[in-house]
Amino acid sequence: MKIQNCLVSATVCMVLAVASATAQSGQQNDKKALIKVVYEFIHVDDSTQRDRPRQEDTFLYINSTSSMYRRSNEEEGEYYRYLQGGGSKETYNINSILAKTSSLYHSVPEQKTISTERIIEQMFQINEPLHAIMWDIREEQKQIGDYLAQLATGSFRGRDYSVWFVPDIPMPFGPWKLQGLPGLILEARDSREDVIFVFKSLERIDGQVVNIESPKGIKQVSGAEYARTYKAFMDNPTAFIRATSAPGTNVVVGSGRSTRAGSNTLREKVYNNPLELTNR
Amino acid sequence: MRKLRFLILSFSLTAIVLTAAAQQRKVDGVLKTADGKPVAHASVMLKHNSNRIISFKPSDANGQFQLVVPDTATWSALFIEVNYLGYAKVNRPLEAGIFRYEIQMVEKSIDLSEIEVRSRPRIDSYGDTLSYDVASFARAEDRTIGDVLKNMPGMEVSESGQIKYNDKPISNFYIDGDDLLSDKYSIGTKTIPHAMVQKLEVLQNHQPLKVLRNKTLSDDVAINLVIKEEAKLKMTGQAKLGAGLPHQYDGELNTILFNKKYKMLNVAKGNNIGTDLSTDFASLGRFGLSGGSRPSALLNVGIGSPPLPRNRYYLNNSGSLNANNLVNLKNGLQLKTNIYGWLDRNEMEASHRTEIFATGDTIRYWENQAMTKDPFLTEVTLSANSNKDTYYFKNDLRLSYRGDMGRSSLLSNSQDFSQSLRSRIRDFSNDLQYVPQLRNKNILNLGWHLNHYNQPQTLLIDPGLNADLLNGGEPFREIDQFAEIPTWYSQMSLAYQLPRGLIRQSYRISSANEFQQLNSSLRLLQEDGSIRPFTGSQDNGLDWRRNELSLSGNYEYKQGRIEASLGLPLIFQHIRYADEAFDLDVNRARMLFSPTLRAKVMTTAEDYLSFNYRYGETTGNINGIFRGAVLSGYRSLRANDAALQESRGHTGSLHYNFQRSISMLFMNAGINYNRSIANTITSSVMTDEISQSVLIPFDNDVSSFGASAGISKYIFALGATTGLKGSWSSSRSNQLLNGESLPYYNESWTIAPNIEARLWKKVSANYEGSGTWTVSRSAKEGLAATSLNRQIKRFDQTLALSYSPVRPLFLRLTGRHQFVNQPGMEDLSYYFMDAKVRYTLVKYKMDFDLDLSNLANVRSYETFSLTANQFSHSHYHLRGRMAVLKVSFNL
Repeated sequence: MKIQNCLVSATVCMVLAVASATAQSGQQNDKKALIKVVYEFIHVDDSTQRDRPRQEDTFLYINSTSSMYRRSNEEEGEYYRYLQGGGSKETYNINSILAKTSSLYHSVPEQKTISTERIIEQMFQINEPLHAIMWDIREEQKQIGDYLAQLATGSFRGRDYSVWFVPDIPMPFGPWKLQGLPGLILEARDSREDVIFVFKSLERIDGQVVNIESPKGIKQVSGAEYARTYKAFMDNPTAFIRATSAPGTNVVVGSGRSTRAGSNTLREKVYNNPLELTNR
Repeated sequence: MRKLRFLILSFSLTAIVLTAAAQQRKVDGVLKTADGKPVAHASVMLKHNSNRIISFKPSDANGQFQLVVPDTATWSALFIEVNYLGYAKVNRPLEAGIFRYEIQMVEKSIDLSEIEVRSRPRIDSYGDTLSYDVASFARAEDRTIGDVLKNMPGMEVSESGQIKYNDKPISNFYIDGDDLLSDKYSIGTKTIPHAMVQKLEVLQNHQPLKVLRNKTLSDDVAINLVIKEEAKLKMTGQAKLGAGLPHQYDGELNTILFNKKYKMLNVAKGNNIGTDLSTDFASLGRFGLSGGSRPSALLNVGIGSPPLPRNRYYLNNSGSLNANNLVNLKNGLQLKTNIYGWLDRNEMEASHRTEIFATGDTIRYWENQAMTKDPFLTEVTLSANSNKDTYYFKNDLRLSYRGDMGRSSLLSNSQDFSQSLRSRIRDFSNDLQYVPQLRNKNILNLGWHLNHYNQPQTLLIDPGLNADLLNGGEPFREIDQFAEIPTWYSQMSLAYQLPRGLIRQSYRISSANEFQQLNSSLRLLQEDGSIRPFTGSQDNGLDWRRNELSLSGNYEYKQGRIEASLGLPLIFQHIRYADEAFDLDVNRARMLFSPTLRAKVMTTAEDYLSFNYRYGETTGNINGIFRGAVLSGYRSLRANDAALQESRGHTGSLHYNFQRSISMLFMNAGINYNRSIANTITSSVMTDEISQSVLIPFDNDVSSFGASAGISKYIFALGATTGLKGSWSSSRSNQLLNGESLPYYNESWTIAPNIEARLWKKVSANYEGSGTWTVSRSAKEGLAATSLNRQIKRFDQTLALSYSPVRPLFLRLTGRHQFVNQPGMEDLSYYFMDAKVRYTLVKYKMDFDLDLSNLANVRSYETFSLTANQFSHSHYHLRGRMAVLKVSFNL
C-alpha cells in the first residue's frame, strides 16, 4: 500500500518536475548553481555536555529556484578519496559524488524537499513536500558582514528558530531545512541555542559547474522508516554493517572513543538532543 | 479516521484564522510577463519606506499573491517589491483605495554582480596553527599583505615594519614555507600583493629545524603566507611611477615569483618624497646573526629626530635595490642569495636646548645644526641549507660594506663651526650549523660562527673648539679624531641532545675567542699648519683578547599542560688587555654562571601563562676600559679610569596569553622586573661647553619594573577591528654628575586605543591614539624639587576617514593631532592633514594615486624630551606641503 502511494506520488512529482523543467527551459539552466554559501554549524547533540557541541562547516549551493545543502566533510571526503585513487584536481567532477553522499535538495517549482541520507555505504532517500514554515517577519535588522539582514522567527520540527535573512539576495533558501523567506538566510539559531548556523562566506560559482539536483535510483523511504533504520544502526552498528554488507566482509567496529592526546578525560557522547524533536 | 479528524480540525483552524484576518487589510494581485504568462514562486514583499519588510508571500503557480497589511501601518508608506532572479526588480507603491495590483515582470538575465560577494572575516585554528583567511580581511583599498595585516585582530605592524602577534614579535616570515627574506622581511609586507595570498598562518611554538620538531620546546611565533595555487604559476611584477610638486619623484619596480622550486622578490626603488628605504634592510626577526661581537661605534654625531613618522622630516634623495632569490634543489638543498644596495643623501636641520640638572647647578647648552648625510649600504648574503627530518645543515656567508659621511654646520653656545664624521664598516661573517640525528635518535648540534668587523671613523671639527681644555688655551684650526676597533670573533659549539624521556636533556660545550684592538688618535691642527697631538692624554693602542669556554646543561620537561626548561651554563672566561702607552697589562680570569628558567602552563587549549627568570653575570667590553681620551662628538670627551666592568642581574617576567580565534578575541598581559648591579658607573663632569665622561668604580644598582596589557577584538556587528593597549613602567637609575651621585626615578604610563570600522557601506574610519605620561624625579632628599621633578604628557591621535562612492574611486582624509604638555612650558599642539585619492582602472589593473601630504604646511616642529636628569627642548624643520601623482600597474 505504502509503496503504491510512494510510486504514485513519485510519478506525480516526476511529471511535475518535467513540466516545470520544460516551462523553464527557455530561461536558464535550472540545475546550475550560482552561489555557494558556507555556514558553520554548531549542534549541542549531547545536552549533558553543552561545551562539546558538534561543530562543522556546511555548504549550500543555490540558484533562483533550488538549493542543495551538504556537509563539508561529505564533500571533501569524496574529493580526497578521488585524489588518493590517483585522480587530480583538474579532472575531478564534483557532480559525480552525488549518489554517494548525503545531501538535502529543495526545489521551489517542484515544491519538494528530497533528503538523501547515507549510513556507511547504504543510501536512502526521503521525498517530502516543501516544508512551509510559518515565518513571522520581525522589525529588527542587523548587519552580517556586508549584508543587511532582517529577523524572522518560526517553528520547525519542535524548535523555535530566530533567523536572519538578506532580502538583497532574493533566493528563498537557507541552511539545512530552513527556507521559505524572501531572501537568503545567513544566520539561524534555536531558542535553546542548541542548533546554530553562522554565516562564514559567500562566493559566486564561476568556472566549475555544480549541479543542484538529487541523485536518482536511490531507495525511497518515509521519514519514519529512515528514523527506525538509523536507530537500528546506532543501537548495534556491527550488526547493521554485517546485515548490509557483502557476505564475508570482516567488520571491526571500534569503541569510537577518541585517542587524541589529552582527551582521556572526555566522556562518550549521549546523542540525546536530535536536530528534529518532532516530525512537524 | 485520524486523518479525517485532522482535516476537520485544520479546516476549522483555517476558518478561525480567516475570520481573524478579516479584520486586517489585504492587498492581492498577480505577477505576469508582458505576454501574459504568470510568474510563479516569486517572493512578493510588502515593504516600508525604511526598506524593512512588513510581510511577504510567494506567488502561486498562477502568479497570484495575497499580502496582509497590518492595521498599524500607514498605507502611503508602503510598497510592493518583487525581487526575483531572472526578472527585473519591481517596486510599486500602494495607492489609496486600490487593493489589487497587477504587476508586470520583465525577463532579464541573471546578474549576480548585484550581489556583493564577501566572506565574513574568519580565522581557523588547528593545534598550534591559526590561519587568517586573507581575502575576508582585505578592504577594497588594500594592496599589499602588509595593508591587510593591519586589519587582522591579534596582529600588529609597527612603523618599522615589525610584525607582532599578540604582542610577541615574530621570529620568521615564511613565504609558502620558505624563509626567503630571513630577518629583513619588511620588504615582503610592503611588496607582496595580498591577492596572491590565500591564508596567513600563525605558527605558534614554532621550531624552524625539522630535525628538532617535537624534540625541543619553543615559544617562538612565526608567520607563513600560503600562496594561492594560481599565483604560483607565473612571474608577476609591478611598476610604480610617480611625480609631484615641488620637484618630487617616486618610483618602484618589482618582480615576484613564488613557486615550489624557485622564489624571488626583487625590488628597485627610488624617491625624494621622504620614504626611508633603509627600513627595508632593518633586521626585524628576533634573531639577528648570532654572536654579539660587533663593538659599538666610538664616535657619534647624531642630530636627534622628532617623534614623528620619518616621512614628515626626511629630506632625501634615495635609491635602493633589494634582490632575494631562492631555489629548492631536488635533493632538498636550498640555495638563497639576498643582495642589498642603498644610496642616500639626506638633509636635516634642528636646534636643541638641553638642560642638565645637578645639585645647585643647572648646566645649559644649545646648538643649531644643519646636517647633510651620505649613507650607503652594500650587502650580499649567500646561504645554503638543507632542512630534513633527519638532519639540518646550513651555511650563511655575509659580506657587508657600508658607511656614512655626515657633514654639519653648527652654532653652539654662540660658536660657529663645522663638524664632519666619516665612517666605513667592513663586516664579514660566516655561520655554519649542522644538526644530525644520530642512529640512537639522539641529536648532535654543531655550530661555528666567524666574524670580522671594523668601523674606522674620522671626526673633523673646524675651527678648533674648547682650546682651554684641548690646546692649553691657544686657539687652533682643526680637531682631527680617528678611532677604530678591528675585531675578529669566532665561536664554536658542540651540543648533544637526548630528546626522549620525561626530562629531555641537552649538553653543550662551546668556545668563544675575541681579538680586538682599539686604536685612536686625537690631533690638533694649529694655526701655523703644524699638527700637535692632544697633550692631555696619549693615543689608544689597546689590545684585547677574550677567550671563553662554556659548559652548559639544558633540561626540558613537558607533561600535559605544563612545560618547563632550565638552562645551567657555566663559563670560564679569560681576558687579557694591554696598552703600553698607559702601562696597562691586565690578566683576568673569571667564572660566570647565568642560569635561566622558563615555565609555561596551558590553562586551556588556547591560553597560557608563562614565567621566565634569568640570572646573568656579564663582563664589560673594550669600550669600557680604554684609557686615552676620545672626543666622541664636538662636546664630549670620553675616557676610562676603572677596571673591567662586572655586573650581575636578575630578570623575571610573567606573561598571560589569551586567545579565542573563533570569536577573534586576543588578549595578553604581563609584568616584568629587572635589576642589575654593576661595579662601575659613568661619571660626567659637565660644563656648558663640554662634558667629560669617565667610567669609574662605583656600586651601580639599576632596577626597573613594568606591566603591560593588550586586547584586540574583531566586532562582527560593526565590522571593526578594535584594540587597546596599556602599560606602566618605572625605573630607578644612577647618575654621577660633577662628583655627586644622583639617583633618579622615572615613571611612565601609556594607553593606546585603536579602532578600524566601517561606518556605512561606503565609509570607513580608522582611529589610533596614544597617550603617554612621563615623570622623572630625583630620589635624593634636598634637591631643588622644582627643577628636577619633571613631567611630560603627550597625546598623539590619528583619525582617517575613507570613502568609496563608486567601486574604482577611493578617497581618504587623514588627520593627526599631537599634543605635548609640560608644566611651566607652553603647550605644544600640532595638526597634520593628508589626503589620498585613488582611481583604479579595473580592466587594466592600474591604480592612479594622488597623495597630498601636509596640507596645512606645518614646517616647523618643537618637542620636549626627558631622560633622568636631562631635559631637552628641540626644534626641527619639516617637509612642507607636497603633492605626488603615482601610477601603478602590473607587468
